[in-house]
Amino acid sequence: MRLLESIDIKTHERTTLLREQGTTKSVISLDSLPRFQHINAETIEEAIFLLGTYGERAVVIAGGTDLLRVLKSRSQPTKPNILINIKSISQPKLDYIEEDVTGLKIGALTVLHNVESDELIKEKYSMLAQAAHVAGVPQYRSMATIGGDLCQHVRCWYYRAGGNAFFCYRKGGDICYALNGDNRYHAILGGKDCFAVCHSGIAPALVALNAKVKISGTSGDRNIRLEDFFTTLGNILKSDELLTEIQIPTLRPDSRGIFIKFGLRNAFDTAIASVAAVVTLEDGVCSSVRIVLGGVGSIPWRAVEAEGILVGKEISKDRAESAARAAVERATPLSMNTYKVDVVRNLVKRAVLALT
Amino acid sequence: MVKELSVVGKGLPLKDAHEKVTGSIKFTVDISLSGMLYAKVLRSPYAHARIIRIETSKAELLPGVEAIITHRDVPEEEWIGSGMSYLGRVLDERVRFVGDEVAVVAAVNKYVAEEALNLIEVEYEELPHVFDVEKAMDPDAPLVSPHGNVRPATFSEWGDIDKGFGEADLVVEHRTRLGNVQHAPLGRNACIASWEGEKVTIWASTQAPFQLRDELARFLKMPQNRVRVIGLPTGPSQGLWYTNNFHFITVLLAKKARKPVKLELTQEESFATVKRKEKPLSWGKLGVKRDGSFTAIHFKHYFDNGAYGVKNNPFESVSDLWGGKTPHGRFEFYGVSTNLLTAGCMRGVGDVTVGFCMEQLIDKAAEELGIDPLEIRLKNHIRAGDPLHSYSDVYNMFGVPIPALSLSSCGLEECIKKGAEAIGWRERWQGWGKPAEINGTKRRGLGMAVACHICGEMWLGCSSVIVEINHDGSIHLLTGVACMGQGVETTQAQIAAEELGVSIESIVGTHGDTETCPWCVPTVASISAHHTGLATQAAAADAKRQLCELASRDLGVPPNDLDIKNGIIYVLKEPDKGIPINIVTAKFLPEFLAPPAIIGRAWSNVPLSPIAKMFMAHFVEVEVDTDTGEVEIVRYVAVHDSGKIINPQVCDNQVAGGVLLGCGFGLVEDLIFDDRTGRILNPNYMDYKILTALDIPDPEISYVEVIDPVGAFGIKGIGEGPPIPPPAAIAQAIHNAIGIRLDAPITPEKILRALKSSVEKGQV
Repeated sequence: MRLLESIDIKTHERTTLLREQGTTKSVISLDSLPRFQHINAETIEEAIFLLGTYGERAVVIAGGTDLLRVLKSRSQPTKPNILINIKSISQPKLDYIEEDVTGLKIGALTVLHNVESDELIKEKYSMLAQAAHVAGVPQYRSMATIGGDLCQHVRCWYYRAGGNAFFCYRKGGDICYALNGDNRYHAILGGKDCFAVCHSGIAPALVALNAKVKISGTSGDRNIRLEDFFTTLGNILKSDELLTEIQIPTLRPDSRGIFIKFGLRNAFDTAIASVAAVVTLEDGVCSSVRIVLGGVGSIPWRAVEAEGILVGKEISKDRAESAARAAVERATPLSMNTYKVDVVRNLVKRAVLALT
Repeated sequence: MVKELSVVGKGLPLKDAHEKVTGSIKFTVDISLSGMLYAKVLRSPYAHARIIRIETSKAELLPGVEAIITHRDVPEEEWIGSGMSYLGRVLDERVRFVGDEVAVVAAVNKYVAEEALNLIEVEYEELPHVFDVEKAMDPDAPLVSPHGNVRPATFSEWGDIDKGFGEADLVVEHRTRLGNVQHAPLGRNACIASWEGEKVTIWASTQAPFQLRDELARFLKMPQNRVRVIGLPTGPSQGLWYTNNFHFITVLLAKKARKPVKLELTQEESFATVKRKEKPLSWGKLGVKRDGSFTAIHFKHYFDNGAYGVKNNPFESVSDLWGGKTPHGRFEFYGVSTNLLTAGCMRGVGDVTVGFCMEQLIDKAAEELGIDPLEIRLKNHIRAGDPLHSYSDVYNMFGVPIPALSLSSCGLEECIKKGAEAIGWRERWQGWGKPAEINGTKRRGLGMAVACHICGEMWLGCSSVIVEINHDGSIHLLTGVACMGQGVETTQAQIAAEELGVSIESIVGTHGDTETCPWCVPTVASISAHHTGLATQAAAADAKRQLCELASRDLGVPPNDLDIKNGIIYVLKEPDKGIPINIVTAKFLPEFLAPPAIIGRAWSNVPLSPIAKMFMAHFVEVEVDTDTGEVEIVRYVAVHDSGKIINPQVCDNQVAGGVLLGCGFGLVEDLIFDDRTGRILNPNYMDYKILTALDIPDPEISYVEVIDPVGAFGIKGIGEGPPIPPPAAIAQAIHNAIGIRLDAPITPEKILRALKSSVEKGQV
């Protein structure tokens, strides 16, 4: 491990004062990266140690497809100036797709292109390959990692406005600007103080597959269900923790899955809504089912009410429709996104019917 | 006898294709000068405010900062933008939209410039703002422009509309409001200015190099020969890069800094601080007889100019397309200032917006009368020789009596018939509001729309062109046109090559440099092929005349008995007797008394009348999913009358790109302003959606080649036309699929909401 004393951080304090509270200072549109120190971590331990040491000043960089954009736009109140590169971790390398008796293990640094094109995933977990395939564009999928996809910032235009123009609830401010603003793409489920949505398509697919994530930290490793990883305002990662692996349990025989993405374009688009569903059918009866919605809330949203309607039953058109209705039963759309309720209901119906 | 063409009409490859695909072509962002400074701009956080205090001293002390300008450093005088896209001071103590320029720093690199911006202290007094066109017209509305919020109305009028509506069996009205559209240039832009003594040189990717030069010279009170604009390629400008305020900022900053300055816009600045397309509000009223013939049209069209736009005319041809046969009409136009990003012309100007409302007005009438959409259009559209009305507002503006103007040529009837055949209209169209096919929740519908658009404007001026023939016979074509991906460097060379009788390879072009090229109209309004093409043809003819004069000595016949083909000057009556051009020109060298080179030159404009317009008919089949509101374009047919097609490959590109753009207008494009602050929420390609090649099928493109009597070789314009019909054709197709007429962009959200409310009303 290198000597931390040797790291000379030019903190650049004058510019870090800029616009902490947003909105009242003049607008500056920047496209240069703020100054930072770039450290190649060689081991997971080193990465964790650096994260723990530098706290808010540090940020992990993997594919960088989203991070660099966030840094350039100065959209965040925090000003990290230490980038910890984890692509340089060589022992063990975090870029792998392996299968063992318990299921599939995907290293956090596996790029989405490898997820979508892996023969094993295409054959046994094709729904995950579908979800990876429709993320962004080929250039993005060649760079973006699966771990980074799960850890990325939400894409709310108030939250992401350049220069931290809207100091919103998610950033520590008082209000969610989307609530009375343009909320056509915002949350319809589970929104309370922040209505930004997690638009990752991989996340609902993995939650539907009942995936776990391995988190490595100063106090050791822990495996938690991906479902419990996300929180309303982000995720449960502590400042000295790193997501290192995704674990997908072996699917039971007779299981099948589907992923449907709804967007305005056929490429280069984030999901307005998505649905990932996995069912296990035994003699035509649905013995287990997981339906997860993307783009509807700040976390991948498990439609447990819909699942409840299907479990132990044969899937019929009527039942698919009731499940679809149940999925959005508790929806509380905002002023401009009622249509998302209809879209999601129909996506759920389609997904369920496609699985019979 | 019509001369057979050997270069015009051929699908020759683009002259700059190699440079573009290899990345060696230079845009302004690629240029740097030795000792050049970098500029960054401090911008207003408020939609409307007054700067009470601005303190730059701390920033000036930052090492590496060389100059800062604020409103205190610029002339009081306003400058006027080409195409009425700007009227205002370069920097003002009053800021009028979020992102308006407040102060600009020039420093040794962009990092220092960025840091300096943070050291500038500004105190603002926030003022009441107005974002909505209708509210901005209220006499009590906050005053956005010092010249008043509403520009003096312009109108075209003929006949007596009251009489016309009195004669109608049916009168329909319609109102449309479209989304905000951003030009969404695929590249960023930059400006570089460098002062040497009393002369300034500007590198700019602009559609209007000469207009930028002329306005800078006027504004700076300098002679035009001391202002040089080197016009560089713009990429797909779509009307964004004309004469923009950042050009003026760069010039003034470089003057103060006494060093070359480059101001490069970020992607966000390209999106949110230069210009956008005006947001229209159209109301139309149409009187129709039972047989479908129009008796009167009345239009009121309001559009917002944003903070600094000053247009009072949308520059439309709708009044010509339908006014040629309709005896009574009145089109009124109002340009209104708002505290939003400056708005102005964009590709398809006027006809996208006014046309969208007009096409639906016609559809409403046809539906009520039970007439096919093709038939009602065929019955009423203008034909060659019919009168034109759209120019009367311009003549009114200049206080000149309105002359009798007429249309030069029209192939719209053939376009409609050819397109209908291609899409199988007769078999597939089931009637108004009736889907062509229903498959579960998916409903297919057919739609069509027609359009007419300008091929330049006579009042933009006279283009001049030089064709220079060197001693080795190689040819230099000098024009002031702007290369913006439309293929003009290739098509102008084709015109010159055709006229001269040489191959296109022997011609190299230099375009848009105000010091080496002669004056030219701005490259707007689909002007280059039709207007500038006439000057290029005439300059080539002038060069040819000089060549023939020289060759006549050697060939022993008068110049008039000579012609040139494949680079050989030959005797008309004895085609085997001839001399290659380079042999004739090579003789200049040893002969001291011979001219040093041949310079063919010409200027030209189109005649007062007849006036050429381009025409097109587009047909689309869409599939609407009534569950999710998704719209998929299944087939697209585009038939164009642009006169003689100079280069089918270039024109295909124009049409395919324009159709994609227009489908984007119709389905997704929406620049979103935050209601409370006026800030643009989606100034990037992730959140502002433009369609990609994966989103629509390849359009089926064809042409009706009606040879125009005005243009060189019968050429008309094409570039601005293709994005015009798609929104209206899509809207009609969606109406036929689900029975609902909607404003563009027709998003899943609008479709689902409309379906829901029509279910509630029991209409479906």
